Amino acid sequence: MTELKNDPLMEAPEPVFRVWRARRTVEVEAVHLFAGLARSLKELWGPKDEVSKLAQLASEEEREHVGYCTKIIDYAEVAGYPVHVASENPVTDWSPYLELGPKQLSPIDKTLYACVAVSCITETLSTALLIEMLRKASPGIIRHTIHNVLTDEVKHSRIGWAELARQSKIKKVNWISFYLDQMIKSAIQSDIGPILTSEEANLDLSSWGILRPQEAEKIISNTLRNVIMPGLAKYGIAVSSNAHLPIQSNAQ
Amino acid sequence: MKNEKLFQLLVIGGALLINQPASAHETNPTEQPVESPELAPLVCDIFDPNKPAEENTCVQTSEGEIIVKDGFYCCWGTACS
Repeated sequence: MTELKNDPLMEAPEPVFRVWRARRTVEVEAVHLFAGLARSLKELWGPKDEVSKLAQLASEEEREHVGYCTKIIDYAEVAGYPVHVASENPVTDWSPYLELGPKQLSPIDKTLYACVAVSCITETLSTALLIEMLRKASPGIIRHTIHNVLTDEVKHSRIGWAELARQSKIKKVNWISFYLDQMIKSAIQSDIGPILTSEEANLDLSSWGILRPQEAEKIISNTLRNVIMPGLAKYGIAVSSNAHLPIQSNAQ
Repeated sequence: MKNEKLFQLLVIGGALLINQPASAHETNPTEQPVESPELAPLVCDIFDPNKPAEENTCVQTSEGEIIVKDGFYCCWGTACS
C-alpha cells in the first residue's frame, strides 16, 4: 500500500469523505442486521448451522468495513477538510440486534424476509457495484478497501440465496413476492437523504470509489433485472410490477 | 463481470451451500400473507433523537413515530439531489 503522502486520497475533494462517512453509517447497520440474522438462523436450525455461522462472520466482517471507512474518513483531516466529529466506536456493544419486516411474520418467515432483503437484494447489488468501483479505483487505500469489501460482499450475498434455497425445500416461499417492491425500494432509496448535490454528482470521483449516479443506476437496474429477479424467480418469487425498478438512464 | 457469471457466483453459489435436508426447529409458517400489512413500530434502542439523522439506524417520521424498515439500503451507489 502506498504511503500516506502519496495516496490518491490526499487529493480527494471533500464530497468523497462525505460519501464514505455515509457508507460507514450503513455498514454499522449491517453489523447489527447480520448479527440478528445469525441469531435467528441459529434458533431455527440449531447451533451448528453453517449459514448461521456465515451470518455471524458477516457481522464481524461488516464491523471491519466500518473500520475501513473510518480510516478513509480520517484522511479528511490530513487532507485539510473540516472533520465531522464522530464517535470513536460507532458500533457499540450495547446496541441491540436490528430486525426488518413486519412484526406479524412467524420466526421462520421473518428470517427469510431478512435474508432476501439484506442478502439476496442489497448484498447482490453491492457486489455488482463494487466490481465496477474496483475497476475504476486508483491504487492505494481506496482500492485496497474496495477489494476487501467486495470479497466479503460475495459471501454475504450467498447467505440469502442459501437460506432461500433451503426454505424452498420445505415450504412455499412465494409469499415474499408481496413485500418485494418495498424491499427493492428500500435498497435503492436512502432514507438519510441525498449525499451529493447535482453539481457534485457530475464530478468524476471514480478514483476514490464513487460512481456517478447515472452509472450506478444502470448497474443497479441491470443487476435487478438480470441477476436478482431471475434468482428469485427460481423459487417462484416475482415482483408485482416494475413500478419501483429504476429506469435505465440515458448516458450523458 | 457478466450477469451470467454473477448469477452463478451468487445465486447458484449460495444454493450450493445447502446440502443437508432442511429441518427447522420452527416450521410453523405464517398461514397467509397479510393482505394489508401495517408497518409496525420498531422499538429501536439505538435511536437517539439527539444524534444527527444519518447516525441513526431507525427511521422516525415527522410525527415522531419510529417505523420499521422494509429493507436495507445499498450504500455503494450514489445518492444525489
